[in-house]
Amino acid sequence: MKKYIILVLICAIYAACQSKKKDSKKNEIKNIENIYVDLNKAQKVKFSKLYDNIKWVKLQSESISLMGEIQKMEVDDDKFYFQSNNSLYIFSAKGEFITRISNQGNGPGEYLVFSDFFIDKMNNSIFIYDSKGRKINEYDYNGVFINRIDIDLDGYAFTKLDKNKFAVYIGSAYYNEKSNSRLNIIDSKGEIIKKFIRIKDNEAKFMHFGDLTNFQKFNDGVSFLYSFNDTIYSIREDKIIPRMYIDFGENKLPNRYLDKTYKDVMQFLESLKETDYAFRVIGFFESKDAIVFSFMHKYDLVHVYYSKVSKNSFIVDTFINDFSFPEIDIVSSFSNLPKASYNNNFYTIMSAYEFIDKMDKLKAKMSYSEWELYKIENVELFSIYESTDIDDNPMIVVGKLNKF
Amino acid sequence: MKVKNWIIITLILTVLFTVYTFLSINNDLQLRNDFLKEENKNQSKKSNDLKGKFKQTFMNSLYYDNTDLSQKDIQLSKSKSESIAFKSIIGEKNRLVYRISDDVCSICFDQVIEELKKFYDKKDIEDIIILVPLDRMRELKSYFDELKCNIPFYGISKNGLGLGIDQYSPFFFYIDKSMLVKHVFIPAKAEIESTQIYLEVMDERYF
Repeated sequence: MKKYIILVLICAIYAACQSKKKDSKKNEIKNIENIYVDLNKAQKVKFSKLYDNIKWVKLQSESISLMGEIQKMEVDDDKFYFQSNNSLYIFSAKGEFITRISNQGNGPGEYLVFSDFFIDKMNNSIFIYDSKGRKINEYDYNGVFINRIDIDLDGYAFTKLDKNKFAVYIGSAYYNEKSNSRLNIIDSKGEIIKKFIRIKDNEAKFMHFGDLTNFQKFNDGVSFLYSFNDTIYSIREDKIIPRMYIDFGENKLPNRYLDKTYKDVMQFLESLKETDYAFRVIGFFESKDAIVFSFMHKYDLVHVYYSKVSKNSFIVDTFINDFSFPEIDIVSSFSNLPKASYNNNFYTIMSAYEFIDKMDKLKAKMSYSEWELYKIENVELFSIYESTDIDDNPMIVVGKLNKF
Repeated sequence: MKVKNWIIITLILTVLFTVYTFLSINNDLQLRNDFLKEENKNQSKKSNDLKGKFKQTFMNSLYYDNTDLSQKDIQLSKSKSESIAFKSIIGEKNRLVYRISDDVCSICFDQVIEELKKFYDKKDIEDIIILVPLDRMRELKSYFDELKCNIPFYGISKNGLGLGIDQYSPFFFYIDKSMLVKHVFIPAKAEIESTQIYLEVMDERYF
C-alpha cells in the first residue's frame, strides 16, 4: 500500500510539472508580437515616408574590384562587405576599394564554395562558411588565415552566436547525414550540440531555397527566419523562442500546400503562383526600430516595412524614390530589397545600368529648365551619373529610417 | 488480481514503451537518409535511361527555320554611349548566339557559359556572340574576367529580340547573314549534356 501511495505522488508531481510547462508555453505564445500583413493594403510608397534622408555611394569600379552577382552585403561603421564571385570584397564607407579575400581551393586556409560570411567586429575577424568543404574558416581583415572549424553540415547560412557557438541553417538539404533539422547549433569544435525544426521528408525533395538572410542581430540576441514559415524566432542560450508572427490573415498559405510532394522546386513554386496566398518570406532585415522583409504573391514580390516602435507597417508594391527620382515608379522586386541594415539605416543596391536608366527617364520627363534646376540641386547625384557606365559596380543607397 | 500486480504490469509496460520510443527516434534519422538516398539514385537512373532517347529526338528536332529578324531595328550596347545595330554585328557571317534571358539568375547561366567557353576555346571559333540583359552586363563582365573568357558580348534591352522567349529561359540560336533565326535551343541546367550535343551538332553542320 505504501508503494502505491508513493507511485501516486510521483504521478501527481509529474502532472504538475507538465501543467507548468504548458502554462509557460502559453505565455510564450501570448508574448509573440503580431505583424499583420493585409494584402489589400499594398500601396505605392514614397521614400520620404520611410526614410529621413538617403545618401548615394558609388563603389569604385576597377578590374580587381568589379563584382558579379552580389549574394550578401554587411555594413559596419566604416566598411561595406560584399559576397560575390566566391570572394569577399571590402570597400570603405565612401566606396573606395580596400581588398578582396579570395581563397578558393582545397588547400589549407582555402575554401571550395563561399556560402556565407560573418563579420566579427569584437575580434576583428571574418568567418567564411564553406558548405561543400564543410568547414568555417576564420581570417583577419587582410585575408590572413587564422583558424578552421570542421562542421559536418552542408547548408546555406550561418552566424556566430557567442564566443564558442555558431548557428548553421541547412534548409531542407537531405544530404546531411548528421542532421535532419533546419537549424543546428554547433560548438567551437564543430560538434552539433542542438538541433531545431525537423525537415519533413516531403520537403527534403523540393524545398530548396536560399533565403538571402536567415539571421539578424537584435539588441543582444540573434533573430532567425526561414522561408515558408511565418515565425521570427530568437536564438538564446541554446533555445529558439518564437518572437514575432507574420500574420497574412486570410492570405496565409494553408499547410496542405506544404504537406504535398512536388517533382521539384519549380513545380512547387508554380503551383503557389496560381493561388491568392502569400508565400516565401525572404530578405529579412532587422534594425533597431524596424523590420523589413518581403514575400511573394502570385508573380510579384511585395515588401513590408514594419516599425517595432509604432507597430505601423507599410506594405509596398511600388516605390517612388522622391529624394532622387521624383515621379518615377520603381516596382518592388528582389533587386530593390534592402541588402543590409546597420543601426537605423537600410542599404539597397542599384545596378549602374538601372541608375543611368532612371536618370535618363527623369531627363526625358523634365523640361530643359527643370532638368537644369535638378542638376543644380543634385550636384553629387549628377556627378555620379556623368562618371558612371552601365557595367560599373552598383550604387549603394543608404536610407536613414524615419519614425513612421 | 492484486493492486500490487497491476502496478508491476503498468510499470513494465511504461518501461517497454519508453525503450521503444527511444529506439524509434534513433533509428528514424538513418531510415530517412536511406530512403532519400534511394529516391535520389532512382531519379538519376531514370535520367540516364532517357539520355539515349533524348539525343535522337533532339537531333531530329533541329531541322526547322524560324523568325526573320531582318526588318527589326535591334540595338545592342557596349557602354552608356556606344550602341550598335545587331544587323551590323552579324554582317556577312553566320553566327551562333547565346541570349541570356531577362530574368535569369547567375546559377542558371554559369554552367552553360563554361560549356560554351570550352567549345569556343577548342574550336577557336570567332562566330559566337552572347547577348546579355543591360542590367546584368557587369556580372557577365566580372564573370568573364574570372573565367578568362573572350567571347564577345553585348547588352540588349528587355525583350529586345522579340522572339517571345526572351524573358525566362536563356537560349541559343543560329542566325544566318540574311538574319533568319534557326535552331533555337533552350539549355536545361540539369541536363548539361544536351548543351554539349547542341554545340556538337552546330559545329558539325556550320563551323
